Amino acid sequence: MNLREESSRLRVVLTLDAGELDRSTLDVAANLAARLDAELTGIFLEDARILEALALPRTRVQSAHGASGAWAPGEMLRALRIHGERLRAELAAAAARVQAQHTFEILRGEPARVLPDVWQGRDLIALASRTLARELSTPLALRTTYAIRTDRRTGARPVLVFCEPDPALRETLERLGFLRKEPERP
Amino acid sequence: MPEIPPAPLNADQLAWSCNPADLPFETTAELSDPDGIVGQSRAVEALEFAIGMPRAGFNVFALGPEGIGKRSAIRRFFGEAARSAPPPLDWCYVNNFEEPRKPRALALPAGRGAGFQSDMARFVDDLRASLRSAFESDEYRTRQQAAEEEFKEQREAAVAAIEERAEKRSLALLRTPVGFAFAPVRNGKPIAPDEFQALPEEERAEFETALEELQSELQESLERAPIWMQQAREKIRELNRQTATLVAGRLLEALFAKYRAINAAWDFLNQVQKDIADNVEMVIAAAAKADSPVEDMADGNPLLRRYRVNLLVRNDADASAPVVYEDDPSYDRMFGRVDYRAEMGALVTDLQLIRAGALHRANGGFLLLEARKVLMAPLVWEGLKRALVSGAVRIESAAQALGLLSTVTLEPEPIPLSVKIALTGDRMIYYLLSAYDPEFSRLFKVAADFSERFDRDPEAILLYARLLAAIVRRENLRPLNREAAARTLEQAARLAEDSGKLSGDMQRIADLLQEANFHAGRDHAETIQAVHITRAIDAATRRVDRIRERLHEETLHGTLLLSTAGEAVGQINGLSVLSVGGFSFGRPGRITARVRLGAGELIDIEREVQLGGPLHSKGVLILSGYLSSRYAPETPHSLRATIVFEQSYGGIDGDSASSAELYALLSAISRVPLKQNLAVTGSVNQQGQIQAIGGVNEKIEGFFDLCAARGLDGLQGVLIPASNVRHLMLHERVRRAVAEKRFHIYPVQTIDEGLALLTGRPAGERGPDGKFPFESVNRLVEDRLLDLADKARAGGPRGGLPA
Repeated sequence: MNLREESSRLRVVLTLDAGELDRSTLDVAANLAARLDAELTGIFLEDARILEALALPRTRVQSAHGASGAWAPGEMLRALRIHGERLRAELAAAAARVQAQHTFEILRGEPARVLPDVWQGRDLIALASRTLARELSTPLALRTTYAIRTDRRTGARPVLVFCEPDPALRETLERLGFLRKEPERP
Repeated sequence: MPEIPPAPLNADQLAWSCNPADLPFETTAELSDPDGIVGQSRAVEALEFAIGMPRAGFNVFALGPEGIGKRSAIRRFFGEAARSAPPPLDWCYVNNFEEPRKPRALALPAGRGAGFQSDMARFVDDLRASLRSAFESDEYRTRQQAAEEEFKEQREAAVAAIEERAEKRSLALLRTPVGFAFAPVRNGKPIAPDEFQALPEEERAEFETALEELQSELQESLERAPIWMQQAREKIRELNRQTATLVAGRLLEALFAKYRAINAAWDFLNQVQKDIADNVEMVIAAAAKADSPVEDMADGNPLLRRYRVNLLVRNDADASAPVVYEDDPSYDRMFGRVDYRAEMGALVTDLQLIRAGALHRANGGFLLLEARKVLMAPLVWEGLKRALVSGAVRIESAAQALGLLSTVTLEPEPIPLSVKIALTGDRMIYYLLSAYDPEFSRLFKVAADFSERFDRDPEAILLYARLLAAIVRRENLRPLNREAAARTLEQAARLAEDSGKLSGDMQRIADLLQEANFHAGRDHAETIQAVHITRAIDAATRRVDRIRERLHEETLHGTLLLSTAGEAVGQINGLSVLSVGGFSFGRPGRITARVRLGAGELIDIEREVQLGGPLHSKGVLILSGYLSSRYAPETPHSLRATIVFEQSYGGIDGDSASSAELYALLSAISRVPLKQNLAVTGSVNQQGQIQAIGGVNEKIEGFFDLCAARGLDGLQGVLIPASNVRHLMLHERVRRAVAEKRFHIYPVQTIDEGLALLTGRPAGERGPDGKFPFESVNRLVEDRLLDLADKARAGGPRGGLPA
């Protein structure tokens, strides 16, 4: 579906962090990109605070399974790289499943500082991390509208963020059933 | 009593001649097939008894030579018995859920097995599709997601609580690829390591204390994560179990209703339902898994194949009991086998690859086997006995049966066996099994002895003609006219080697009719005529008589020495039969005897050089007994005698030449010459009685052909045992010569009769004085023996034959 001319193709960005990947969001974003004939861009943010925190004394990394241990920044950097490559593969596979065009980028910095700039000019933003959504809710609230839709197949509730809401795009998304109206955030 | 040499037989006594005028038909086309089994009343009674006897062990061994219709008779009886018997059960193999290596055998009423098999195949397909559908449904996914979300929310809530407390203490909780970490913040901004080091000592300590405490709290919280995850998994498992059993239950409902009355099927359905409930995760995984090409070849996913049914034996509900003839009773074909399939370079198997054997197919009915093939096939005889003794068929490989296979494979549950078995074979096999296999007589209690000959009477002749008519129809031949039928009947008597019998070797008769039909076709005749039968007989003989002809020529050329005229001492024409490739012919041969002073030895040269068989040696030793008892019984004999078949270069067996050897010996002792225009056959006992021998027709014809080639002078002839007269079925050329008195056949009962014919003087009976008449052959024999004894006493060799 072409809402715009080829030169101004819709852009959907999927923002990923080092936390657990929310695959339902990945699938929805990929599906959305395919249905809108949009380009899907995966952005993996290597949170610079992690490496800084590990340089501090007594900082330990607590695994989700309860194990605890000290990690050197270098080791963590390698883990981040591996994680990034895994996300790149996951994105490529999801895009291939729905035959959507995709790109992938790795950035480093603080989310609140880096991501608003990255999102400039994007039409839709999907956050594949609840933490990220929570962390970024304050800076984004002033200029975005949330649209939340429950994925019928997975039951997941990805967070979609409109940047500079476009009425035509919103109408299309509603028609395709991707949107469920949520009260506009103040 | 005056000795009168036996008169020669007249031509009418030399063969039974079938008068075509006595046959009440023009051609065999007018005749119907015989109603029963012709001429085999003994065997028929045995078969009827065996079939009617329902107890185990009353199996049949049909004994008799090949070609006399044993198999067709048994098939006929089995077929008739099977028609009135109900069809047996269908047998399936199904999975043994408790011990998958030992598939269970399942019996269903006849005709229900195929339906059950297809129902279960459909159930598996439907189960797969329904499970896929159920587990992809929004409802299931929502419930599954809810369980997973609950876990995530528990964990997130715990993390969020920590995060909140961390914020209050100026720490940020960060996600890393390998877990969580805390970072100090000030005014919402992270503190770089340099800044942190620059903080006052108290502030740093405060941060560090907070860090320690929060890390401990986080660890404590996250340690509960596995428990939450376990709870979530348990919920999902329960959801899966509910969903799968619901889906399977719905599908099985119809099958339960359909097979309510069949306990075995009902039980299996219950087991399937339980297995699905017990192995939900596995079933779901199998249902969700895409079929690989290997699995497609292997008939679907192996996990779901466990619910399929392998129909081993199917019967038609409207049919009758099976009659199975297994002409290749190898181990696998008899007892079934477990096949293997190559998958990714390995051989694998499952219950779908269990194959039935002849015993399975014949179970509940009848099985016909050839004993020789059964005995020749490795392990089959022992396996068959094991199955009959245990009353069950067990499928195992030959290697397993020998205990050689240690590879894990299937051990299908044995199937109860109820079958009536008929083995066919020649008499030797029957007698050997009876003698050497103690189980044989217990398992094959009924012997159906098929005779190779029938008594010939007017009724049997007509029945035989109907049998010919049946062969003609079965083989699609031209009908026989009555002359051809008469000629065939004569040949049947010739094959029976008895003018009062007809041969039961219907295979040879059928072969003869086929060949005669061929000649009739060449003559464009509508019916087979006597000339075609004769031509077929002659042509069949001609094809195989090269060796006979060669020997005949060599005798005529003098290479093989044989006189047909004149007289000679210690020399006689004996007759033997040679069999080459199933063709038998008579061969005249010279037998000579020589005597001298000795220690009472009678030397059989054939035996000395190990060319004489045991029967021949026995015959020669009987001569010794005859000499001892007949001549000078009170005096030890002091001769050394040698007897030999001249120009015989092969083995000799049988005692049919023993009378000829005795004549030669007596001639040698008495020095009375024997007529060389006569030939002799017949065995002799110690009393000097001539006994019947086999092959009398071939022997006479062999000598006749030689004499005829040299010119019949009216003096030539053959001495045969009188008891063989009824066996005469001589060729028409011999009968004609006898009728013209150019050749003679003498029936002889005693050695004395034979001596009179061969020497032209009386043999001599002992008179009141205890002596044989002067100049009689016997007197000359006795005198010579006494003379040798005297010489021995006077200084010759010691010892002698016992008195």
